[in-house]
Amino acid sequence: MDISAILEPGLLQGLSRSLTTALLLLLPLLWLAQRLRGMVLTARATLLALFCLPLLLPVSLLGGLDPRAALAISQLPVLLLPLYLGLQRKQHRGLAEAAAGLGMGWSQRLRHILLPQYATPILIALTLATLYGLVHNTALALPDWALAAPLLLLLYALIVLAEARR
Amino acid sequence: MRLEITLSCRGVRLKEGLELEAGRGIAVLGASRDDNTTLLRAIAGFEKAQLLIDGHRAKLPPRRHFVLCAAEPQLFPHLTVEENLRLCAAEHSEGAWNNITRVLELDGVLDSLPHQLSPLQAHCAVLARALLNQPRLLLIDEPQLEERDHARYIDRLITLLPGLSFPVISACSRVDDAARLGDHWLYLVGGEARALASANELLLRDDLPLLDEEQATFRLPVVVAGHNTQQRRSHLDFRGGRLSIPLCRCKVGSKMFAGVPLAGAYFSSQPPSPDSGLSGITVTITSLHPRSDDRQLLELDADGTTLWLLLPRKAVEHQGLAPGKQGFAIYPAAMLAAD
Repeated sequence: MDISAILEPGLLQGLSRSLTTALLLLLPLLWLAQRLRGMVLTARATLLALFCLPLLLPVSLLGGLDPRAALAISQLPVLLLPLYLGLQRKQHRGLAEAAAGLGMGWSQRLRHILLPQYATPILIALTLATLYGLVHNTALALPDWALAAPLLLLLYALIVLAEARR
Repeated sequence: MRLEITLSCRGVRLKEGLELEAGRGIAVLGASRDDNTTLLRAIAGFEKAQLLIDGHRAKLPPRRHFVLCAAEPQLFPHLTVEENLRLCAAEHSEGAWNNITRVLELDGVLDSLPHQLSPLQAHCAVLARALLNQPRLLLIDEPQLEERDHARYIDRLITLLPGLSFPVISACSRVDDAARLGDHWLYLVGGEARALASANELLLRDDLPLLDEEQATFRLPVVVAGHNTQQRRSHLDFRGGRLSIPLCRCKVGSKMFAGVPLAGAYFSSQPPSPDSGLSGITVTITSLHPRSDDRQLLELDADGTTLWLLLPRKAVEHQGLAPGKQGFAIYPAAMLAAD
């Protein structure tokens, strides 16, 4: 029996893409999640509120949603990411300066600033976006631009780190 | 170490040379916290400024190795206090670790995460991390703490300063804090350096606004003479007398300084009663310095040690105070201060 014949065209491809991406993101996320332990409660609550917002929308409504609208909602976590990082910018800058003053090398700065402060929320946002795509069967999990956004944010993080060297 | 700094940034204009010695403090004293912060950040390398260190152009912050304790504590939030402290600690003895964590009262919170700390504990943790890092220069911005915690923070800092192998520059917006944190003050008014001199020399400057306020304080070299745990008082001896302060942690025999506020101090022909808690010093008036605010600064001699009183002109006239008159200088308060 050919399963693909009873599925909508492109759905299997989308599901496969979503699963692969989710697995790739979830494995490092499990390790990085423990890095979240130090986040201040309010920051953690903000993070969850921002990133889980799309998942909290009633599924029944989404069932009949236009695929383009579903796509937009699925990308909300990624879109809200800059807002979250912007709110945290003062802390990030302070930590970067503290690290520079203490004479921390680049490897330490990557490990203690870039990963916990930037990579973790970025990966959470990507994972949620992917899972959303998976759950709601939009088959549109992660378009290319959504992957480019976190890369730009990583670049931004490096700039913040580099600023402390001025 | 000599720092030559030329700065014109965020309203702060400065061209000054600072001589720094290990274990000694310079206080940056200015009413504007922002100006003080800008200056410290410039020295640390986070603001644009021209800085020469011993005649050589300053390197980038990681190689400059000047640690700044910012006004807001910056601890790595995913690490425990102990992990934060050990992260960039230079090689140090277990004794140094124990002493720093004990004096800063961090023993009980080493396993805590930064967000579980009180503001005072967070500032103390940042200070401990900086001390254990053993930088070339430690810069301490005025912490944003409630008044009671602020006093505790300064007390703990002063206890640790004498043993340091590097110099310290502290920012202060209050004269009494500056008197406790450094023998030399860089005095900022409106973002410009108006004076760089010892604390006691600056008392004679009538043009420095903060000194006219109730915070005016002079400094005195003292030796910790003993502690009375029942009365929760410590005694500081100097040539010419003894001062009483709230119980401190310093070892008996430690050579320190005392900051003696002039507010509430007065001249009397009688010594205070022993249980009054006041410090009465036998003195002879050596000179009177009139000030523009209708007060007079009295320079006193106590067996070779110079003391000061700041009194209203009317009080001076009423008591007939003049050079050569003997009596008691009564000080209601004194505080331990660093070198």
